[in-house]
Amino acid sequence: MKVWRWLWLLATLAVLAEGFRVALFVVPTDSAQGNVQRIFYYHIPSWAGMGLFFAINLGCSLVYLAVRNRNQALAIKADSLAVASAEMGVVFCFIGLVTGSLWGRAVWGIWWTWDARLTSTLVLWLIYVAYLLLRRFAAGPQMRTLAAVMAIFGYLDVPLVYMSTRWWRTQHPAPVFGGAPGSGIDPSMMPAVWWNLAGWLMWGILVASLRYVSEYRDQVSEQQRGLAALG
Amino acid sequence: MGDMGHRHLVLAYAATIVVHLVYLTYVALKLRSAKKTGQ
Repeated sequence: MKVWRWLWLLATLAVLAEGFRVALFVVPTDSAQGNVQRIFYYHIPSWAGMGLFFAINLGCSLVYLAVRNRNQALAIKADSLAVASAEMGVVFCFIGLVTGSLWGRAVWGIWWTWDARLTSTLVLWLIYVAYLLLRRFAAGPQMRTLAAVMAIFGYLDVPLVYMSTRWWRTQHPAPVFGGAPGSGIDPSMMPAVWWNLAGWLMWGILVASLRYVSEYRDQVSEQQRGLAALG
Repeated sequence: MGDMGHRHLVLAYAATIVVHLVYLTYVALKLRSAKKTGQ
């Protein structure tokens, strides 16, 4: 692993440790929900991570489709980053669903409800799992093009997930950030949000960069094997 | 809520960390196998 990655890892672990400390021991306890509200400090970074990595996946898929016949080197890089970011997004989305479900069980008394936010999020997760399965099991030169097109259509669900609590009445709480006037959490709780947001996004960038390296190496050696077979 | 809330809080934090570590292990294995393929 390169030096910058070790430094990045150290910084990430320090930020995550501080986030953990601030979330559990520094910020005040929510007067209505009690300590279970602290799940929020790991729940929000999961959705932020999901949004970031699915957006990177979309960007890379568009670049891949644009350059695949003109610039093979860039196409391989874009496609490798698309895979890495899709996997990281799926991991964050899964954690968001699990932490949300645990919070729902404690506060609502139920693990799950088929409201617009939860259902659209589950569909989004399934779309990207299907994207990864397509990449894993489909063969042939058209697989990457098909996956890139699927990623573009899959991303259409992201704004739907984001807006679901604004467009429909949902069991899920109203937006905490960017919601109606007076919504949101107390400013004294915000340090826990910022530390964990920074820490988990830094973690996601590190792990996705490692996954990118392995995927890129795989694709380059696959291309070299193909060229050797032709020659 | 009380104790039940505490249990769910611990489970949520533990699940987050475990899922990330499981994925990191998968990435490390992929990296090792890509290195071997490249040699």
